[in-house]
Amino acid sequence: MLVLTRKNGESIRVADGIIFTILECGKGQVKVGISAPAHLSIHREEVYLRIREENLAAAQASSAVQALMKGVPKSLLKLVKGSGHSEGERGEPGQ
Amino acid sequence: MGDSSQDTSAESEWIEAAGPAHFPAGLPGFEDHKRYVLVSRNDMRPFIWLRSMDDPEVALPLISCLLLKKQVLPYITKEQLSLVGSPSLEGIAPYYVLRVDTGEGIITANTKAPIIINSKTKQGYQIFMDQENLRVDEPLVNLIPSSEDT
Repeated sequence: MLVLTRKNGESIRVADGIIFTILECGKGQVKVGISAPAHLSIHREEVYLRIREENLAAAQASSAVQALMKGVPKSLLKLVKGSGHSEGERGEPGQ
Repeated sequence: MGDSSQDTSAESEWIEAAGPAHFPAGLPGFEDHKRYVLVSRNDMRPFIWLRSMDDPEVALPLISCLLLKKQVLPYITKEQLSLVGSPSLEGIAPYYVLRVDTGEGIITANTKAPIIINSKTKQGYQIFMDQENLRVDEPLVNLIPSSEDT
């Protein structure tokens, strides 16, 4: 791992268009500003790992479609039948 | 998708609910899978599956956020919309990823990281929400609107 020492306001550039800037440090934490192209996803590591874990578990559950249907609350099934919503329905602004 | 059922009726036939969508960043856990298609079965409504076109064995069960409480649409930022090439919410379909505990039979929805698909550009992204009241494992039963809500 590359280790660099930086002061408040100083930056680190990673490749083209990715810049980490130290905005504030102290009290056991560091506030970092990140400038990067929009197509790059940037997340807190622990949050990313939790979402990853959930996705992997969800994909495993997809093989148990019958179990999924057994677990569905009856009130939801009634709601779907009565709503006319389709699976691919698009969201509209303000909903 | 490993449905072991031998039912071959039209009710249990997998159909495409929407055309292929491109996920430029993949999905957490499936970063190398970029192309997905939404598939559904009549007997599985209201659930649909986001199936990888790179590996059809990979499929995530979803439900449209529009059917449920805790709407995320008002909280989606312009930056997040730009990830699917949209300047507004028009044409945006939001979904929660579902997880089922086969032992307990409990279904939870990941309201913290909904999947959005732009029906116009056919681009998709799993976005992360900052709102404190959203959870990765919200029991589905908590999200069902009461009769007063509908």
